Amino acid sequence: MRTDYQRYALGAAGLCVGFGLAPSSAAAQECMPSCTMASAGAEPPYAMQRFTIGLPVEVTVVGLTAGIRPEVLYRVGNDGSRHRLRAAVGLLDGPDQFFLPVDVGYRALFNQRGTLNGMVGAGGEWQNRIVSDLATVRQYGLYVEGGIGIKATERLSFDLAAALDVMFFGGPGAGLGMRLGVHYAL
Amino acid sequence: MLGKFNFSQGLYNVVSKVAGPYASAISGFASSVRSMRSLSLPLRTIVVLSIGLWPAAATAHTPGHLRSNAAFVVTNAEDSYALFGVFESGAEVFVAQLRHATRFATPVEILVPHTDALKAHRPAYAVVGIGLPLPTDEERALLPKPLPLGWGAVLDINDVSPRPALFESIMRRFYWSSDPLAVVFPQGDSEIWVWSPARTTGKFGLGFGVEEGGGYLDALKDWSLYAY
Repeated sequence: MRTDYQRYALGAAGLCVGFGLAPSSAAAQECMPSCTMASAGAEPPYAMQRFTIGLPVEVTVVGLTAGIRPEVLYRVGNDGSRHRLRAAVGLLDGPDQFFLPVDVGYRALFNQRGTLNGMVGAGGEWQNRIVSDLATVRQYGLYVEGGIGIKATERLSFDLAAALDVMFFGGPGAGLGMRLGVHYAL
Repeated sequence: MLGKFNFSQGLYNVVSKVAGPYASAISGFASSVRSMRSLSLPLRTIVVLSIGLWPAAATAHTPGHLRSNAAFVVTNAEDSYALFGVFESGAEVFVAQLRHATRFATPVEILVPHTDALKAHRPAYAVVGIGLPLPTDEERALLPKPLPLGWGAVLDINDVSPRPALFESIMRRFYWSSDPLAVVFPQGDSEIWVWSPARTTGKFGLGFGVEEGGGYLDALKDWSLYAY
């Protein structure tokens, strides 16, 4: 049984991510030539073009929940590197729980120059499950993921992915989530 | 001397062994895909790991489907079971039949999905059989059907308050529980009856037994019953 603040949190988070994405997209379109030129030179570790933001919609099929799992990817290495560090926080609601997973991991991208590309990844996951009359259930484990993407522009892509997780602490169990999302390279 | 390459190779070998026959098949398939050919060893480890992780948490209660028109026959009464059913009219009586070689103590409880719609749904159960204590007249009146001659009964009408909630980590669902009650099952035949005293409708689970022997593969046979 969910509480009202959980519903509000989901809605507010969705709005924040939405507003955050739109202005960034417009600004990025305008400064694309200069950004491209900048990437040709020495690239500092904190350069914006190393980052990609994603907004996948997700459905989990073990413990039914649906919602969003915004993520930030950080490119490790030079331009063209396939290696990404990933951080994500999910906000998913279900008939009996509010689900808040936190991921930190690694993702490898393939065929980045092509229209159809792929990815695999793995990392750690901290799962929080919230109900009104029980202490928040916290579980810790690992996830693996894989998916395909279609590049719409140089920076924008649409993705379909599946993620499998196994929790080892806080209650054993395995889960599966399906994601459909959009990614934007800053 | 543990270099990066040796560690990755070792991890890959271990995971491949754990994942069993699936690992080599998947690894072989993966390597045949053009874009995957350039995968470095750590990335191949991720692919194999994704296959090997799934069975890691596979042991669980044995699932089963309780139907109102036929008794569920428990084949190994020492195992732990999670039997699920649905009250469509509220007038049904669900029956599980057990046979123990000796007297056997085990917790029994009723689970109800933790949703707004089922907040008032509180199915009751009774363990009945020869050798159990004879019920009082008041208890006998609560039973959903007449007790056969000589049979005793242990009842739980699921009225504990506040209602205990629990998280079941295999199906990742929250339930309200009737609170587990340790029941000593008699040697020989016995039954568990489940009914809805207030004629409420909806899904419920009946949990009992000790040894975990079931898992995901059993649950896949009737996934929506257990998972949603």
